[in-house]
Amino acid sequence: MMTGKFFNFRAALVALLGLIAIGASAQVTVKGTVVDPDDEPIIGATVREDGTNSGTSTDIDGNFTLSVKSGKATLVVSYIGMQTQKVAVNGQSDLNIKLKADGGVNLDEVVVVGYGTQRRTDVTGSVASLSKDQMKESIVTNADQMLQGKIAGVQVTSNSGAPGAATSIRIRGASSINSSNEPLYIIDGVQMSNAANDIGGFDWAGGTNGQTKVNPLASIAPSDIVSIDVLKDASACAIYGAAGANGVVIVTTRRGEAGHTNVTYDGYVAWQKVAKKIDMMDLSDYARYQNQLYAEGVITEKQLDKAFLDPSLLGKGTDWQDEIFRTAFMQSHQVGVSGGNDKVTYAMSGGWMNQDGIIIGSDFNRFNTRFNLDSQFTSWLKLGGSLAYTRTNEKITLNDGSDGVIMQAMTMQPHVPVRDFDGNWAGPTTVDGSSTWNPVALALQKNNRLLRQRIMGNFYVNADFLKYFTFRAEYGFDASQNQNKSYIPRYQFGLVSNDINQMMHREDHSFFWVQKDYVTYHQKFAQKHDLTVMAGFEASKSTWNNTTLIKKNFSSDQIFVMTNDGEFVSNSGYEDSATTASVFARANYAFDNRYLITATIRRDGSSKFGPNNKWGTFPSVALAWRVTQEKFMEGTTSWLDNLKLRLGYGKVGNSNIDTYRYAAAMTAIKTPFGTAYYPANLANPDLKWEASEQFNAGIDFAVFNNRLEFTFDVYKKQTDGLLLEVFTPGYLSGSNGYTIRPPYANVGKTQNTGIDFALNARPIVTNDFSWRMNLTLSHNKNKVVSLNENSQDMRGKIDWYSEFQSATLITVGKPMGVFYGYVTDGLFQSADEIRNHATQTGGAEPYANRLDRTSGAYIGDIKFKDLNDDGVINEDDQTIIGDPNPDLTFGFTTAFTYKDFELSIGLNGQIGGDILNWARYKTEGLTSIWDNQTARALERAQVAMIDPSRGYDPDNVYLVPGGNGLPRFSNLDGNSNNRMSDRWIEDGTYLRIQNISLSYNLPRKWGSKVGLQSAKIYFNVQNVHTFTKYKGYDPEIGAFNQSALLQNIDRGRYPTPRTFTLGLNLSF
Amino acid sequence: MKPFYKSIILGTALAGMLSSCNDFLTVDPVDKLTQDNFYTSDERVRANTMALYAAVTWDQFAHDFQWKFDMLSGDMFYTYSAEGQWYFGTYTSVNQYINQGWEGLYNVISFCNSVIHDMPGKCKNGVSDAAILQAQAEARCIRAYCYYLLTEAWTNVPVVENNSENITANNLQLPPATQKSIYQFAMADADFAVNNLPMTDGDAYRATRLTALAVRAKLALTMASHTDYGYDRNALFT
Repeated sequence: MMTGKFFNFRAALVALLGLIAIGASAQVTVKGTVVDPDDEPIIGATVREDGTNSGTSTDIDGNFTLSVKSGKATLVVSYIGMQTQKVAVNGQSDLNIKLKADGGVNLDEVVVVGYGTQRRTDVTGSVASLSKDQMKESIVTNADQMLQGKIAGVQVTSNSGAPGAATSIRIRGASSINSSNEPLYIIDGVQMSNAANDIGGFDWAGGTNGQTKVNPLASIAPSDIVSIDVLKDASACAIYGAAGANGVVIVTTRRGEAGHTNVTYDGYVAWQKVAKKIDMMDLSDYARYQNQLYAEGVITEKQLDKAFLDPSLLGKGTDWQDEIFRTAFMQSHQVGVSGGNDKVTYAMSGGWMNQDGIIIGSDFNRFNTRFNLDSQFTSWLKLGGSLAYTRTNEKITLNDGSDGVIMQAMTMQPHVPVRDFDGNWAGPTTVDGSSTWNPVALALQKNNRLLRQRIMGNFYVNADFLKYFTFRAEYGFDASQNQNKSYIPRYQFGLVSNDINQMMHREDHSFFWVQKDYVTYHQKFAQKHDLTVMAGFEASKSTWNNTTLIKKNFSSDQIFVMTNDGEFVSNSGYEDSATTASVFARANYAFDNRYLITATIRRDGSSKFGPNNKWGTFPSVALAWRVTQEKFMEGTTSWLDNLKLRLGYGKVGNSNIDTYRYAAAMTAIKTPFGTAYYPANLANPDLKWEASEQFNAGIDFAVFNNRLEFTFDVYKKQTDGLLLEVFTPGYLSGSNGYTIRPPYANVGKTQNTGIDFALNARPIVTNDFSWRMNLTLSHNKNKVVSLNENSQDMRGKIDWYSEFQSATLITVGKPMGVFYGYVTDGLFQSADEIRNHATQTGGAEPYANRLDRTSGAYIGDIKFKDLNDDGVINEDDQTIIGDPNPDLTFGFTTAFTYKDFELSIGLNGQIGGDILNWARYKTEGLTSIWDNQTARALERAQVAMIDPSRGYDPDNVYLVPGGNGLPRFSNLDGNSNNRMSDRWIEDGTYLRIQNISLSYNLPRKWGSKVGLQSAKIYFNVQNVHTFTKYKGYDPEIGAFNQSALLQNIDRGRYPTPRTFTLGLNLSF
Repeated sequence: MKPFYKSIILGTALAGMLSSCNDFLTVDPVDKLTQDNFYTSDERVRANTMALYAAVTWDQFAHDFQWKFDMLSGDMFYTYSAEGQWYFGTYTSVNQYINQGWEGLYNVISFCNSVIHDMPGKCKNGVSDAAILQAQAEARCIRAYCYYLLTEAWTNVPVVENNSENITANNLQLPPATQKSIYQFAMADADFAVNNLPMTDGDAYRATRLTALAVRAKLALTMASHTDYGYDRNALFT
């Protein structure tokens, strides 16, 4: 008996050892050669064993040797520009692998969907991805610009053409009025913190403020990005719960791969110029204009400059637009190293870019570094992380306001030189008038300098256990330190002078951390059932603080540092934090690869909400049917590659509001008596989420070996419980700074419905020549469904220095941000016409216009429509005169590849979408005798006398024919010609040739002599030409500070430049 | 370990997590005082009423509208753009200063109403009743003055008595009240102020009984001049 036991035990031990031995000795050595389609050996191709990190790279003859686990292993062979191939070893020991050129569709293409990845074929929601080719098409400073015109349903507009400026991104329309409409950005799994994105602006020194939002994506170098996936509908975004209402943009940065160590260099130099100039009056035009004003009696003999008497003697004068614009140089250099072995892979990058702005005095430069590391610690445990540091430094000039550089340059008189004969700054000949700054001095001296340093890191642990489970824990952080300085010097421009210098110094610090843990379970049952379940929880905290200091009367104008020199003016500061906690789960089930269902649920709690409603629940469900997998479709597999129908529903939320809105803090105000306090607002403990409910239906369709594919989505987004300040009439709560504000409440509903269409085609694919195209079309209809009082409306205000304060409107039944004003009806031709027209000059008496050349209405003034026929033109005669939301936005790219050359052309544009050209209010306002005006002002309405002896009696004049529709010059504007009306509204339809790019890939044969895997040299022209009727610089305006209330208002916006780039991409 | 003990331990652990979760999600401001913890002493109440006299509270009215009265009466000469329209009397309904005056005065009224109605409920033990009463009397004195100005400029205007209540009850549309009733409302405020304000106060800027008497006198004279409103003239002059 004992012998039997012993024998059994020993046998078992031997068997076990034997198995191990077999396992160990079953290492098979595989050799082979990798060649390209021309049978040339490929040097440095990566050969990996599938499912492991074990790999090697081919040598100078294309040969490789690799030890694999068994003869049944599969090799994955990859190389830049080639299609990755999987080759089964199948017991062979010597393989000859021929790779095919890339340009095909990878059916195993994986998209990042948040807390995991999915194969594109399994995706049930509306997810779009930017391909590597698409990312390289535009020369961009920041990553968000890459998305412009490339993805259906995603509308990207630059708020300013300044270097590094912020953009407004709307995924399927804007839904929120007070909270942000920008999507959620996830960089390598960590959401981008919203803190520290403002500058101090310019109004601390008096004047307008300019835009104060800066671009948060400035800290990601575009060349570090390897893929961008955009989650558009709620079923895809609901996994992000309360942060997902505006869509999600997932950015993945480059990570290392085992095998060949890859060194890359991406660099370019570029020159930028302004694309269009406004036709302002030059010196002889201006002289003629002044003579006309003198003849009209508007200016006196004393006011008329004698030099203007004979315009033919005058030259062009100062072209202020030429003086402020320049050809600006831009360069960028990025170096990357990546590689690793089967245990550890890494990717490292560093770079520097410098962009001068086309307006003098503006620039942007960035230094960035990034380090990613992944370590396969054991076969089941993977660790890794990334760390990135970015430092950006920008000089921001003042724009978007009447005292901005652009507006001042347009209205400054052409007879003023930039500098006088002594070399000092010159100014206007009189201190009157609104052109007070020498525009060149303004651009060079009045600016905000912003230095931002940002460190972002994340670390993860990924453990596989129990065969089907994976556990992942992540910790991510985002730390920002910003320093913002602004200096206004003492100056003298001719007669205009300022002898008080001021400086502002502002510091912003923030720290954001997020910790998440989740478990994923994935198993395939009986070949037909594919189930994935993921569940986890997450917590995050964001802390930020700010200190601002303003001083004046410094003894010198050369020191821009806050020393103890100067007098104290004021200081301010704040500190705050916000936390969130969430639990979430997702289940994906696929039956026989034909029927797919995804369900997610998330519960979010946030510190920003009142004790009564701290937690919100966000569910979603999506179904998809892969029709091509059905048996009855078997006959079509020769031409139909993919037909998938998708249906999705979800609830997501928007929680991007200020903290502590549910209760009231006491506002402190400094008075001569001490510090007084009053409650900042009324409390609302029921404050909760803005809930967005979305339906999406879509079709994915691909035919002819995936040579033609399109995606079509129809959606409806309803956002309920919009966080609005309870809207009250002016007698319950005021609108200016020091008031007790009404509470925020969840009132208000908006709706977006629309369609997205994306088409990808490769009509010609041959060995030498190929042609691909990509078209996106988006149509979105935006509507405000209800506010808390349906009769109320919210006005968007322009700056204090403009005559009309409100220009846009948010009201029930209309899209957000529509323009609201009077309707024009031509010009007054005769005195009787004025007498018989409804009262425009003030007062409530009907048909009682004040007929007076100086202080009332006169021949040549604008007639406004009396919409309600009551004889008086007043607020009741205002109506909606334009809609900034476009009817259709589109993007089109096409690329031709011939051997090693590639030519690509990209277009984008919009149809519909009106623009309020507020800049014309200054350049065609015809009220100031000093301001320069556009050349059109010369053909404004002018009157001539019938009987010269009777003078300018209203019955004695007639309108001189040949005018261009502009009204007469009226110093006091008694008729309010310049009120908000359709006079300033223009059609913003445009078609822009966005890129034309020609590139040449160095043949591998030549490159391999120096170890080059690939080399590409390219020439790109960006913003080639814009076809539009819009009279301003650029029909792409964006939203002022990303606000939905202030879209498409051109207040002297920094134009987007035309860029000529020469670039080089090398890969060793 | 027995399953029962296991579930107790698990349950306590979970409960602990949840309550600490709610603690984690409660963030009070660190850079401001809050209404819930502000009114702890008489000095604090006086710091609140100090806001009634601050330049910024009156700014919208004082800075942008008050001197238009001088332009209308010919005391001030300025002829350019929107402000100039007040000199000529040609202002239309789009002139932005009309709204500034309107909102400016109602803004002061909202501050007064906050002191009268919202403050007392938030006071803690350290606040004396006398301090609350004086604060309310100051607010009513100022409110009387504001309604006087409103009705003089616009004649029939809405009477807002308690902003918080209007907003919570969603009673936002208030009809304009007649000038006759507005004078009476203001007089009631002025009477309250006269009866409850001290003769002097340590702070020179505060409304005292003398201020209230001055406001009441001005109001009484105006009311008396309106023979069409049929006031009891004897009651006015007591």
